[in-house]
Amino acid sequence: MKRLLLLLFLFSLSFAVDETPEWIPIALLAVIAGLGVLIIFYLISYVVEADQMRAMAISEMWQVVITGVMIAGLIGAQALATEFGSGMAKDFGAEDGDTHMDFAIKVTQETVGYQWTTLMDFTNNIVLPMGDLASLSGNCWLFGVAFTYSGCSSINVPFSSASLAARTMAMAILALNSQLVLLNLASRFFFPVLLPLGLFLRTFHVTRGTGGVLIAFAVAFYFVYPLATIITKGMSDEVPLSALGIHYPEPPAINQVGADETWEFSNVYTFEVPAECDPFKTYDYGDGGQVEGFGYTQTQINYLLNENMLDPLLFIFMMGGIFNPALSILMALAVLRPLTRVFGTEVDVSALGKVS
Amino acid sequence: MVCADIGWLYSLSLLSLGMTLVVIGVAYALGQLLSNPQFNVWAKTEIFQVFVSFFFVLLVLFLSDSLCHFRYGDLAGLGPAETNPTSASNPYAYAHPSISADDNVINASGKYLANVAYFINTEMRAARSLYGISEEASRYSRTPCMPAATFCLYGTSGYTVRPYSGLSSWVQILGFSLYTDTASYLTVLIQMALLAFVSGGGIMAYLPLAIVLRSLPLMRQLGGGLLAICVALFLIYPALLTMESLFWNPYQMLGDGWSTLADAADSMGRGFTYVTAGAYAETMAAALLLAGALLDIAAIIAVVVSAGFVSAILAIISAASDQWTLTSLHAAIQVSMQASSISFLTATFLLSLNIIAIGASARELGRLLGQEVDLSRLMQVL
Repeated sequence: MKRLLLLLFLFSLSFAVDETPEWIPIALLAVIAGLGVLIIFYLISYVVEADQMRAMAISEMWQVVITGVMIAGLIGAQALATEFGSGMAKDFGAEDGDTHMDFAIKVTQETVGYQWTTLMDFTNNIVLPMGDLASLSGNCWLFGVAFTYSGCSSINVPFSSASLAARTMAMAILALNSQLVLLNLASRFFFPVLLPLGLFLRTFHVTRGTGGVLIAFAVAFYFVYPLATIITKGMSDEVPLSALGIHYPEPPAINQVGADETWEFSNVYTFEVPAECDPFKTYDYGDGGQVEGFGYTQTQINYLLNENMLDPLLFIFMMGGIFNPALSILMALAVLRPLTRVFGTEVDVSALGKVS
Repeated sequence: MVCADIGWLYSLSLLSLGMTLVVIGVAYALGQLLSNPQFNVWAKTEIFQVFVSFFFVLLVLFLSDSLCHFRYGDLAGLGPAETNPTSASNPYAYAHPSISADDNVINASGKYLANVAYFINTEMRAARSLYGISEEASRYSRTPCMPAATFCLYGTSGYTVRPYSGLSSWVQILGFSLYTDTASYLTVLIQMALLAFVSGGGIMAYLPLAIVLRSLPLMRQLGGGLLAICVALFLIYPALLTMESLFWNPYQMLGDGWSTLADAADSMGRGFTYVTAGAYAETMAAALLLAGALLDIAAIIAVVVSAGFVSAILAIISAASDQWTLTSLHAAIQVSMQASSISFLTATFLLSLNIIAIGASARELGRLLGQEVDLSRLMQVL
């Protein structure tokens, strides 16, 4: 009864659609084809006097009617998603004319772009220079006697943290890239192709299960997934970072890799490393960076550990890149199983959950 | 190929029907002879089921035959030319191998999977090359000339530094990416093997068997299950793959990044531009030449030899136009990460969808034919 009420509610909304969606003709064709096949079966049942076949044809006829109601319901759902989703997207900064799917894709693209830029800043300003310094060692050779001293190896401690942070950021970007591909998949393939195909297959008894699964996929990933993406992003944006005492990460504007691919802090002609760390001057480390030759390293370590660098990085990448995409896909998958039941079948989507 | 042997399957199905009818007829005769009504009831029930089975088998064979004769070009032509996978005007048309408009649906599905495999393989090779060059660059070290004023006469005294050791963070990221790509690649290979098995006709041999099994005592459920699996695998699976090939193109999704990815895939051994190393070698060469001019003739000869050595070093480490730079490496890694996500979604996620749809179809059909088929185990294995 609840399902019927839901469909009836959506049915009224089907009249709110301004333009006929592309999938409607194919879906209607599916219903007509199904109806034609059932009529033939019904007539044959009279010819061969098979009551069982006739009862089956009548029962299946109801399924055609239900498919018709589903089409109306889906048109209504699309209208609802367009109106409600666009309105909600507008609240979160969407432009006029953006559908919920357009905005979800745009939001994800912007997040990926921002995160990649931040990762590049972090890599070029922190990870690479710090790795350079950490690898610095001093050699002394005289008449066959030599020693090597890795006086800067203690920088490996913050360098490992920086390296781990960079890896985590890259993982977050991979997750967001996958979200972007999945949204495109839903927009280009699931809804315009799988939905009418599912409606067609659902009309016939032998392929009803497949049809139900395809419709459920189309609905879950076209309606629920982008809306979940917008909502999770909106939730993150609703609370300004400053209110949490967090600022956007500001990598130090020193030691950048120049356009000519040379290190600014390395003198390429003499190979003297002018300031960051002198492996022969081990006593420098006890003086808190006040002595000659410890300036840049200390600054980089401070940037990494202070609240303007690590906290915002953790927040932005963990929340925006890992937690939000995981939450969005969980919402879509949570809806998927009940939807398959609504559309006439029941499948185990737990494997898909593991894949996701 | 089942498309070539479908007539044989019709004949075999007819033979199965005949054999089963003979068995039922014998059972009926025995029932009459022994005055055993149980035999007669069984025979009357089974005669209806045999024709139900035969009808289903004929339907499946007819639809399979249709798939074999359905031209891919007719389906592809339904969409716009710029996204048509077989059109020459589509820059992202499949080319590894190309799909002909005259290919049947099953062949086209196989070629689509081959194109996806090529895409993922290219991404794997790109990730491997980028992994290698990141590791190589991160391990590169240099030792300065100390002190320069004495023309490095103190030998190797001074500093040793690995300027790109920070690139080791990419090594692990690319390792993870490579791992994901490998899983995706194997998934596509599994799909290709499954399609080859299905289209090879091996599974269709179950169809005539199903006619017999459905009429044997205690075997109806097994026969129904076999029939359901045949329908799901032979009709639903290629149909879904065809739809995917028509409307989802990983090359198109990656867009302009494809040329970067293909270039990175072929870059093994290209090397990294160590600008500072080149400058170091030049300094060293100049110092040696100057020192040579100040020393005796024997030393000059030694210097000439050394200069030749330095020139050789210079040739090795000086920047060639196609060597990786930090900027081009980062750009390629960005594309590779995008390609990795596309590969995973195309191979693994869509395969899961296909298997779930096949499982649902087999389950519904199996229920209709007397046996609920649970393919969830198979799905989990895949």
